[in-house]
Order: sequence, then structure tokens, then C-alpha cells
Amino acid sequence: MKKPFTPSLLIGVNAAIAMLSAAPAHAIATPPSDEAAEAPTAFARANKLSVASMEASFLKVPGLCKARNAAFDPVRVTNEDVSSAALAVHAALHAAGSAA
Amino acid sequence: MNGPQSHRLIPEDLTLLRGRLLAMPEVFAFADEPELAAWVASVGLQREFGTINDELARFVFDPLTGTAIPAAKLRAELVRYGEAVGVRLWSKEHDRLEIRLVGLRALLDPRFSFREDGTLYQCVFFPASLAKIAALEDTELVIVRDWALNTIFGNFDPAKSYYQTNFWELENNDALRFARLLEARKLPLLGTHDLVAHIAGARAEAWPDLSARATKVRETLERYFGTLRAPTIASLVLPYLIGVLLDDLAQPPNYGAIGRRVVIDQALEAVASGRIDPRRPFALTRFPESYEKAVQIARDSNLDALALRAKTAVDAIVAEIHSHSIVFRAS
Repeated sequence: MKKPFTPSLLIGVNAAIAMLSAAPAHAIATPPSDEAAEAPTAFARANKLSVASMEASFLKVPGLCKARNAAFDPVRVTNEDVSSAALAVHAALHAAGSAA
Repeated sequence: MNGPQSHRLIPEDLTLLRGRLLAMPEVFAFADEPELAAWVASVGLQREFGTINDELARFVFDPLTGTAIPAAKLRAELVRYGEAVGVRLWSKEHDRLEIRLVGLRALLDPRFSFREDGTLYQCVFFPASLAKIAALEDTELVIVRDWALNTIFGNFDPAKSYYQTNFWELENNDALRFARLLEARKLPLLGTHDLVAHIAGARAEAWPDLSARATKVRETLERYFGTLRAPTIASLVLPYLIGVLLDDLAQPPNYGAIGRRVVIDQALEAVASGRIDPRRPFALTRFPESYEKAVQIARDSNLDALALRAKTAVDAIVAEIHSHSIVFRAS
């Protein structure tokens, strides 16, 4: 699904953008349909690329969760209690492990 | 048996695991497939620990100096204890560790992580135990097959960040997938982000609000995309923003955070308004810069004029999507 970024792909993308840039977004009233939205451009088809794969090569997308650390900072934790139920879960694993 | 034994997987083992995973449904619970789920989660954690993708490292401190231990100094390995599989994390240069993350202590195996004097010298996790402890808080841990295939069993490179997967997440409308999980009170366990950001400190009391919000997100996105199989990237930007903030809201320190809720609501309104038609053949040439602004507002502790600032940021994203998009004709 993902295509590796290569200089030749960038050239292709630039060419595609130049071709596609003939009309700004607000200028063409393309009848919306599922088929139209999913159809590749002639350029993309010729190069076996989907529009999405071209966009993938040049869009810099900030992280959803993976590239972004947990959205909070470290805090000192002192004397944190662990519930007896949680300790029982660990103990059950130890019992099974000891018996193995 | 004395303690957990180091375990090394050979490439053939990984191929077998991947094959078993491929045969599984899109989402499956630890409770349903405990052995396979534990292997997948253990491999995911072990591969991330000590790399730049390690989200736990930021919370691992040297108790003597009070400074964070660099991820590069941390080591990890798979371990077996009886039939259980898990992962061990330690530092070669520190004989004591301090974890500055609320809720993690309950997840650490107490016998194999702490000395008798109570000091922490390594972190041992058994995913099977994590699933049972999460269940105590009404939380079902699951494996999401495609996420595992794309990360753990994808072309994983510990030297590279997950930056490369962000487009994959956007293109695959992962916000909708995540909303479906939260709605059903499920959390994935595939790596350190899930462990640190979501599972440590998870509390049952958060679910009614979180699940209801996830339902609203799911319903709005399903109405928006309808039966469309491959929405345009332009139409996936706002759902992506919603996914990021929903992810934030599912993190215990951020439960119920007003900023995230308000920005999510504004983004949902913009989605529902149809101002970006997911069927219109847009190609996005630049990711909207206002996206970061919206995230910043959502995470800001300043709540002054929050609704107005959130609406302005979301409107700016919509405007940028229109100005940075080009329309192509189907040929």
C-alpha cells in the first residue's frame, strides 16, 4: 500500500500536480460519486499509482499516536498502592509458572 | 522454576506468528486468544523498548540523580515463565530504576521487578496479566490485527520513528477504528504507547463518558463516509484530528479534558456539515498547518474563549484543505 519515497517518484508527483493543477478546487463542479472519488487520474493509472499514494509521498502528516508521546508528563509517584485483585492476578501467574 | 527465562525468537517463529495473526479476525481479545495475543503484545513491546519509539523510556528515571535514563541505555528481551510469555526491560548502567508514571506499578510483575527491599531493578510485564488487571477496570485488551501487521510484523526498523506510519493511519481512517474500540470499552495492547498512555492507570469510571463520546464520533464518521470505500485524503484530515484527540481523552491523566472535548465537538460539527465532500475528487497538496494549532488549543490549559478559538482553528483547517487541494476529473 505504501510506496517508498524516491526522487523519481517526486518528479512524477510534481508532474502529476502540474497536470492536476489545471483547475483549482473551487472551479470545477465535478459530479460527486463514489466512483469518481475513487478513480485514479490518467497519470496515476499510467504509473500504477493511486492519488492517495502520490499524496503519501509528499504530505507530512503529524502523528496520531505513534509519533507523539503520551500527552502528559512524568510525575513522581510515591507509595502507590496496588489493589489486592491486581496482586492476585500476578500471584496466579506465579503459581502456574512454578507448577510448570 | 526460579524466574523468567530469556527467550529469543528466530525469523521462522515470527513468520509463524504472523501467519497465525493473518488468520484472526480484525480485532480479537486477549481473553479469546490468550497465547497468541500475549506473543504479539510481547514482541511489540520488546521491539519498541529502548528505541526512539519507546514511550516508556521518558518515564524511566535514575533515582540517584533524578534524571531520565536515555532510551539508548535501556535493554529489552522476551522472557518465558512456565507457559507465560512476557518482556523484561532493564538498564545496563543502573541497578535501580524509578518509574514516574501513575498506574504502572500495578502492571509490573512484583516478584520479578522489585527486590525484597522494595527497590525496582527491572520492569517485567506479562501481557496475559495486564489483560486480567485491565479487566478489573472494565477494560478489554485486544489485538488489532492490521495495526499489528503494519507495525510489529511490518518492515519494523528500530532506528526509525513511526513517522512513516502516520499517513497509513490517516489513509486507513484509524480514527473510526479507534472510536469503535472505545465504544466497546476495548483498548489495544501492541506496544509501549498502549501500555504507557492508555493501560497504566486506566479506570472503569472513565468509560461511560468515553464510550458515549466514541459512539458520537463513530456515528458521525459513518454518516459522513457512508459506503465510500476510499475517501479522499482531504476528507480524512478532520477525522484524523478527532482521532488524535480521542486518543488523548482515552489517556488516564486526560480523562474528561475540556479542551479536547470542545475541539472534538467543533471538528465533528465541521465533518457533519459536509463542507469537505468526501466524494469530491480532491488531491491534497499540503497538510494544513492549522491542524497543529487545533491540537495545541485542545491541549492548552487556558480555557478562555475556548469554543471560539476551537471553532476558528477548525474553520482554518477547512479553509486550508480547500486552498491546498486540487480537483481531478475521473478519466
